[in-house]
Amino acid sequence: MSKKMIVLKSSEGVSFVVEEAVARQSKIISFLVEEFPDRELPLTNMTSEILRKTIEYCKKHVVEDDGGGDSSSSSSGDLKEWDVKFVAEIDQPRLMDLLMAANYLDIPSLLDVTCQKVADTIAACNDEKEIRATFNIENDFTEEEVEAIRMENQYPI
Amino acid sequence: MMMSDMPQDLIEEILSRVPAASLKRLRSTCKRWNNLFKDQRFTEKHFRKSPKHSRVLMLNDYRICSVNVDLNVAPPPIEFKDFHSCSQQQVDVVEVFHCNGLLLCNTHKDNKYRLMVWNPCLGETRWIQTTTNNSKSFYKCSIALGYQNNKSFRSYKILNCWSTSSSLDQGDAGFEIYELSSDSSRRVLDGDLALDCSTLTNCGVSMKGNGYWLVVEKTGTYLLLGFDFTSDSFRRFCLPPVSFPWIMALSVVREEKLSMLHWSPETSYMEVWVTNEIDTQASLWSKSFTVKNPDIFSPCIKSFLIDEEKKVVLGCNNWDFHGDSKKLYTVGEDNEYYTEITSVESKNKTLSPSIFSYVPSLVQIQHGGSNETNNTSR
Repeated sequence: MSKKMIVLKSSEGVSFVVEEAVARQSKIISFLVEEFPDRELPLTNMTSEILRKTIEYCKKHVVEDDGGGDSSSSSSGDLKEWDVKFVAEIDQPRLMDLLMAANYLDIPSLLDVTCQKVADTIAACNDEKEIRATFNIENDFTEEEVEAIRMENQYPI
Repeated sequence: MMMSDMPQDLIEEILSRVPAASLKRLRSTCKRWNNLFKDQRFTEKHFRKSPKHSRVLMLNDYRICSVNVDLNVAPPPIEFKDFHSCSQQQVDVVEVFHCNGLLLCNTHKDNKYRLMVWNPCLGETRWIQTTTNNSKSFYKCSIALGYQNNKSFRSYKILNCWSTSSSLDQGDAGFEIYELSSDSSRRVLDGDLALDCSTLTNCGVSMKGNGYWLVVEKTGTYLLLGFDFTSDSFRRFCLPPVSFPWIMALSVVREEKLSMLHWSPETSYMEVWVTNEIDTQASLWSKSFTVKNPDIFSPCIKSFLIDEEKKVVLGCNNWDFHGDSKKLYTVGEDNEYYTEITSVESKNKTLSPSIFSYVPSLVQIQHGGSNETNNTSR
């Protein structure tokens, strides 16, 4: 039996043909497929690169999910390991884009791993300067305000 | 996508996964992050989601200090560090009770006892005016901090037990509940379950918002006494089936399990029992591991912590039969894990040191109508 395919279109107009079961991990796509069957789905705020990454993630997860009744806990362990590697290989700006994509498409497990990766990066930063540089955040405090917070924060815990 | 362009809910989703101590260090990144520290909805979410990194603290000689034990090395090195400048304030801390990153301290200064709630991570303190703690001279005052779990927030409360005798069933004794959010106190009417008991020399612990103590009944039966901060009432629970209790102490593991340590002179082993659930009828405890008791002293443990994975007990002695030396030590299933620090430095000979686990959190100290909440950066 042939699998049902659907077409997703990136912001650059590139079409991706994906198995419906793969794409349905996104709750949004799942909804759209039911509302507009046999229609190409334009994802105007996702670049081809990010869409490709998202599909790669969904493919991996759908394969593991219907691996049959004998899927053991080791396979879910392997999947976790794969997730860790998957997000580790993406650079910071793209990781943020992927996080936004997971949020937009409503893929909870992808949102979970991307948020966790960003949180781990934040926790590994030594000070606010490193955070600002890593995530391109503007310092909107005056010097006095920074000093006041530093006074509150000066004690190790 | 820049972090600053992200919707607020995603920023919160990310930052609620960063451990409290790291996040606090980074609060001056930008205004948006800093403002989250004052947002109770966020701090609640953070409390639910963030990884709980617990630390070992010790109350010794009226001061709180931090204890670093590196269990990756055998024998584990033990290091003491200053904890926080607040504990160096001009008050003596006589007793401390930990719940969700808040420390309830019974402090003593100029012959007066006062209660203080303290979040060391946020640097916030609040002094509590209760009706009992500054009057009379009580033989013993015991304190606990817990919370009532409402739908959207936790209402923190203090249980203050006082008695004029060493045993609760003699002399005058009573219980008072103080609610932080309403700044009001009331007597616990249904205290009979507890009044029948005398508390052991060890301290109580908090788990999932309720307080627990090891007590002995008039009949000589040992049991677990719990205080439910939602119904404001005491309950009695079963202990593990141990014969001839001699030395027992209570501890909490990762804020989710109760643990009991037991030793009797009949055996040369200390048994560690744990449970996720407690019951009034059935004993649901299971034995976690057993460690060989070091021959050189009796383990008069007042407080302890365990590492279940490495099967190691970090114990802190009460009185020693052989003198007044107070010991902090680790003892494991594997003999290599034995290490001890004799005579923990202390000027005070009557007050024993005690250890407890502390998990930094962003939990704010609730405000009543009129009260003093201060940053400790004075």
